[in-house]
Amino acid sequence: MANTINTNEEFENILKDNKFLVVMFWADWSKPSTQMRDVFDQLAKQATNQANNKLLFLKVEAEKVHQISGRYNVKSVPTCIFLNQGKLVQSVVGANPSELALQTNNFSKTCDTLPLEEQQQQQQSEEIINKIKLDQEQEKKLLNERLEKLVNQSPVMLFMKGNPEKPQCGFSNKTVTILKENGFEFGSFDILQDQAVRNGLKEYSNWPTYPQLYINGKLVGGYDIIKDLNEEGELIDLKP
Amino acid sequence: MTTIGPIENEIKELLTKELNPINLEIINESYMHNVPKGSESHFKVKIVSEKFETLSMIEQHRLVNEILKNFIGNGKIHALSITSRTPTQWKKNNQTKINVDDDKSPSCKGGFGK
Repeated sequence: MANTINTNEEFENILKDNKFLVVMFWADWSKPSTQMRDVFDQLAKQATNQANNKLLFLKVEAEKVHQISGRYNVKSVPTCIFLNQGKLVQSVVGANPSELALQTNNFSKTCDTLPLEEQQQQQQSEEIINKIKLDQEQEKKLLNERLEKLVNQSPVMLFMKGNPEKPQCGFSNKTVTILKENGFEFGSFDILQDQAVRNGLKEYSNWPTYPQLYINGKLVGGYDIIKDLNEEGELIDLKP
Repeated sequence: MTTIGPIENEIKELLTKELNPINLEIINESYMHNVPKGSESHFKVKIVSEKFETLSMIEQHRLVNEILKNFIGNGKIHALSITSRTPTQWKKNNQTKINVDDDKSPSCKGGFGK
């Protein structure tokens, strides 16, 4: 159902909060306008049921709230007007249900298009967002390429805290010890020195902790796995 | 008797729900580290589950990490040590219990992620 407007003040308040209005002017002494009022209610009901509906339907008794009628130069009833941000964009004068339905449908479509200035602003915002996304993707791509090179820098590569001579963490220290005991020659990378690698490698390898051991570019695991493989006598088999 | 903290309890619940383990031991090793008394920051998990049967060791650990990712990702847990076994491996080693004291986890340096 369409809302009935009884005062100019009521209309002004609605105008502030709603961009797209369809307003019908009628009079109870005019039979065509009372018939059109039923059609108008029906259109309002249909529009309300649509998910993307942005239209608000209002009924105004033309003589009762003459300020509104005067403002939009309404000379006869029934008259339906279409307002975009308070500005008159279209009107249907007389009892013409099919024309009203057509214009309502057309107006509903224009509701989805923003004013030019807003369109430009939105476009600029989208361009900025897309540029940021593109930069981030590019950055990620470059980091992944760098990580790919790093994990393949040596046939055996250990990403650890500190370096083999001076490990900065017990897990890294024990991993180094196991590798040395098994006669592994290995390259290493100190993740404490490079935050991008430290964070990026976790995602790259889908492995949340350090150290990380790679053999021929493939992740073997962290300390727990290396310890287990060593205890099972399987670590030595992985030596390239 | 050691009291079980809320994080340890939640770890136990999550792993039990997701992996239906034959054997599960969770050891809070926080006392071994430079953290306030009663902390729940360093854990050792020892788990035997049929769900590991078709998985490689790295896949088993990934599965445990995935289940506990909310703890690991937001730094609630500073370090998590995992020992996973399939029932076959467990029986082969003739263990009725995974030896929890076989070796203590080494100490680690600050900043999440071992």
